[in-house]
Amino acid sequence: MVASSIKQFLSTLLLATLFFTSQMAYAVSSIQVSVGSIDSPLGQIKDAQFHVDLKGKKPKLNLIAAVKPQSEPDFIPFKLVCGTLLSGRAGYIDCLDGQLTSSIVNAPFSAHVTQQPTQLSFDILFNGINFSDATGLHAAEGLVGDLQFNAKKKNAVWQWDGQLNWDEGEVFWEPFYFGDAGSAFSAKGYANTKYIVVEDARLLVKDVGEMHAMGKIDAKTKQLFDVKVNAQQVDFDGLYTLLLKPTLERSTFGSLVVSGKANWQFAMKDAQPANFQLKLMDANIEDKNGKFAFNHVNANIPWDYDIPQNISLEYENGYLLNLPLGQTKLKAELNRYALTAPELVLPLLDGALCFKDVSAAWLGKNWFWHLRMDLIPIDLNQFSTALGWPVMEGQISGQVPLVTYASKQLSMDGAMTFNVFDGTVGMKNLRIDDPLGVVTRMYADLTVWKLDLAELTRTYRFGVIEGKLDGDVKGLELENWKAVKFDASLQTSADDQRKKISQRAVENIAALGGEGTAAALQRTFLRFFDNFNYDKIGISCKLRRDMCEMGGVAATPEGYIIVKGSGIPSVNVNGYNKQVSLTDLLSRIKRITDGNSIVIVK
Amino acid sequence: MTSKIAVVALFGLLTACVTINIYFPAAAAQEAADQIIDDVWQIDDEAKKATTPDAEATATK
Amino acid sequence: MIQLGMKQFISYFLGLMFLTMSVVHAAPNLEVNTPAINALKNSMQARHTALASHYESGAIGLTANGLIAVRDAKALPLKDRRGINALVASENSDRSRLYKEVAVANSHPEWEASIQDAFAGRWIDKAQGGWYYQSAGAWQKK
Repeated sequence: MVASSIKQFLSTLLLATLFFTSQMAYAVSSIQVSVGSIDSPLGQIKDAQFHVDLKGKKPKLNLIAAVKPQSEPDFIPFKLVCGTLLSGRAGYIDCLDGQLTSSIVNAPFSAHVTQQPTQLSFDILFNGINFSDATGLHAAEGLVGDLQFNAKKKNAVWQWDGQLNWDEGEVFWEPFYFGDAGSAFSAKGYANTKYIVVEDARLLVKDVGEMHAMGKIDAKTKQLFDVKVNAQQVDFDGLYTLLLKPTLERSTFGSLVVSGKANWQFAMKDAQPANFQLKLMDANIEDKNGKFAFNHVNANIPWDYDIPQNISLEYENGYLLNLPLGQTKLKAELNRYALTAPELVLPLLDGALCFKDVSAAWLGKNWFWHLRMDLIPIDLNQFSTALGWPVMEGQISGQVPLVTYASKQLSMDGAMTFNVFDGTVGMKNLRIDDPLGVVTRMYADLTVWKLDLAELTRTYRFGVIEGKLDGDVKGLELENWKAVKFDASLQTSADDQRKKISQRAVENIAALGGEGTAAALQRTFLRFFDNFNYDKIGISCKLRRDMCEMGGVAATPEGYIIVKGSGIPSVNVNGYNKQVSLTDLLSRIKRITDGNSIVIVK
Repeated sequence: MTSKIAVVALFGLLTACVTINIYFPAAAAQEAADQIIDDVWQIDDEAKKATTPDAEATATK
Repeated sequence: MIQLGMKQFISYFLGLMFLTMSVVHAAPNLEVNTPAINALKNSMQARHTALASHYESGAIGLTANGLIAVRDAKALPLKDRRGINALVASENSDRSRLYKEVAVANSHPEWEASIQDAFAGRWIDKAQGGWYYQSAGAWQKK
C-alpha cells in the first residue's frame, strides 16, 4: 500500500516538477495548464489540471487529475496540493504542507525532491496517511514516518539507497496485519536498464526481529529473480502471529500458541525456490483447539532443490488427541519433494509407535505418507483413560505392514492387536477420515478371542461372571469417536470349561431391563444361591445410529436368550425387546457399574 | 360437456399422483434447522420472544 | 436344601424390559442428533462468539444460500479485519458440511441442497435486528 500510494504521488510530483521547472516565469501571477492524458509505465493520468498560484508570499500548487495505476481497473480522481511550493533553482523542489486526496487515500506530507540528469533524491515526511481500497482489505490508518531515497547515475548505472521509517499507524494488507509501528526498512543497490538489484535490505520488524534480504528484480516485468532472505534469532511467536498464521489460518496449524526463537533463511534462483532452512530453538507449539501440543521443540529443517538434506526434530513432551507423547528425536532425509526415514520412534504413554521405512511425498499441495508400523506395547488402562473410553485392562501391541495417509485419510493394511481382559482383540481394515478435522470418522473390523469375563466383570464391578467370550464386531463405524454403526456378536467360547454366573451378575443383567425385575429373583428360593452354572452367554447388537437390534445365544418366540442356564437350578435370562437405544443401554450399564443402584443380595 | 371435463381433471389428478416421488419433508427440515440454529446461536426461549415481536421486527426489515 | 426337595428342572425367566423408542418411527422428525452434527454445532457455536460482533457491525452478512460472506470489511478497525476471510471460509466449510451431514444422517444424501435451502431461510428469519442478509442479490438490513 505504502509503495503504491508513494508511486502515485511520485509520478504526479515528477510530472509537476518537470512542468514547473520548464515553465518557470516570474512575471506571471499564476500558471494554469490542462493536460488531456499522460501514459507512464506506472499507469495513466488524464484530465490533469495544474494550477500554480504565485500571488502570495509562498507559491501554492493545486493539481487535480484522475490516475489509473496499472493494477486498477478504473480511473481514480485525486487532488494534490502543496501549501508551499519552493523551487530555488532548477531541479530542486520542496512541497511543504502537501496533501494528496482521493476516494481511497488521504495523505498529508512534506517532500523535498532533487532531480538532476544524474541524480534523483527525495525525502518525504508523511504525517497521518489513511488509505483504503474499495473492499477495505488493503488499508492503512494514521501512518506517520518518513521515506528517504537517493540515486546517482554513473556510466548508465543508478546506484541507490533508501530508508523507510515507520513511527506510527497500522496497515492491513489481507491477510497480513502490521499493527505496531516501530518497524524500519532500509535498502541499497543499483539499477540498470535490465535489472534492479537489491544488495542489502534490512527489515526491522517490531516483535519479530531483524531480517536481511538481497535480490534481483527484472526492471520490465518486475519479476523476482534471485532472492535471499535471512533472519536470525527472531521471535517465533512474532513470526508466527505476523507472517505464518495469516497464511495457515485454515490449516491444522492455523490456531497455535507458540513461543521460542527461530532462524529462517530462504533463497530463490532464477525465479525458482533454491533452498530453505528453518531452525527452531526451544520452541513450544500448542493447538488452541487442544488437538496437539509439542513442548521444548528443537528442529533443524534444511531443504535444497538439488542436494538431499538431513532434517531433525526433537521435542521433550506433548500430546496428540489427548494421548501424552514422550521425549522424541526424529531424523529424516529430505530430497526435493520427498521425505524418507528408516525409523521414526514416537513414544506414546508407556510404549511407542515405531514407524519404519517411512516415505512421504509432497504432490499437488498434499502430503502422501507410506510406512510400516510396529507398536511397542502401550498400556490399555492409560490409553482408554486418556481417550475417555470405558477403562480397559490390557495392552495394545501389533505390527501393521502398511499405513498410508493421503488426502486427510489414514488407513492401515494388516492387523493391530489389543491384549485386553486376558483375551485378544484383533483390529483390521482401520481407516480414519480427517483425524484432526471437525468431523472425524473411523472404520474398522474387530475380532475377539477368549475375552475373560471374570476380569471384565471385576473391572466394572458388575458382579462376577466366569467364562470366556469369542466374537466379532464387523463394520464398526465411529463418528467423532462415538459408535454409530456395527454388527457385533459375542458368545461363550466353544471349549470353555468354567462357566459360572453370580447372583449379583444375574441381578445386574436383569436390572438392565429396568427397576423391579431384580426384586423378582429375591422373592424365590433362588436367593439362597451365590452362583449358577450356565451353558452359554451371548449377546448380539446390530447398531444403526443409536438403535440396537438385539439378539442372544438363541431366539425364542417372544425374544432371545442372553444367558442359557445349565444344571440345577437353572437360570435363564431372556430379552424381549429387540430394539434398544444404545444411549439408554449404556447409561443403565454405567448406573450399575457406578454402584449406585446395585441391590446387594445376601 | 361437463362430464368430459371432469374425466380429464380426474385423469390429470391420477397422473399427478403417480409422478410424486419421495417428498422432501420441508416442514421437518425447517424444524431441524430451527433446533440447530438455536443451539449454534444460543437462542434461548427468552431471546426468542425478544426477536419475534411480530409488528416491530417485520417493520424494520 | 430346598432345591434337593424339588427335583424338577426350574427355569426362571427374567424379562428385559428395555425402553422402546417409539418416537423414532412415529413423527417425521429429521435426525439431527448425531456425533458429526453435534461436533459441527459445537465448532460453529464456538466460532459464533467471534462472528456475532461482525454480524452486528455489518462487516459480515448472511447470504441467501445459507452461508455467510464479508459484506463490508471497512466496518471494522484494521486489526479486526485480520483473519476475517478465514473466519468466513471456516464457517462456510462447517455450514456446508452440516447440510451434508443432516442429509446423510437421514439416509437421503440427495436432500443436501433442499436442506441448505431450508436452513438459508431460517438463519435469516432468526437473525437479530440490525444484521445484514442478502436478498435478490442485494444486502438488506434486518
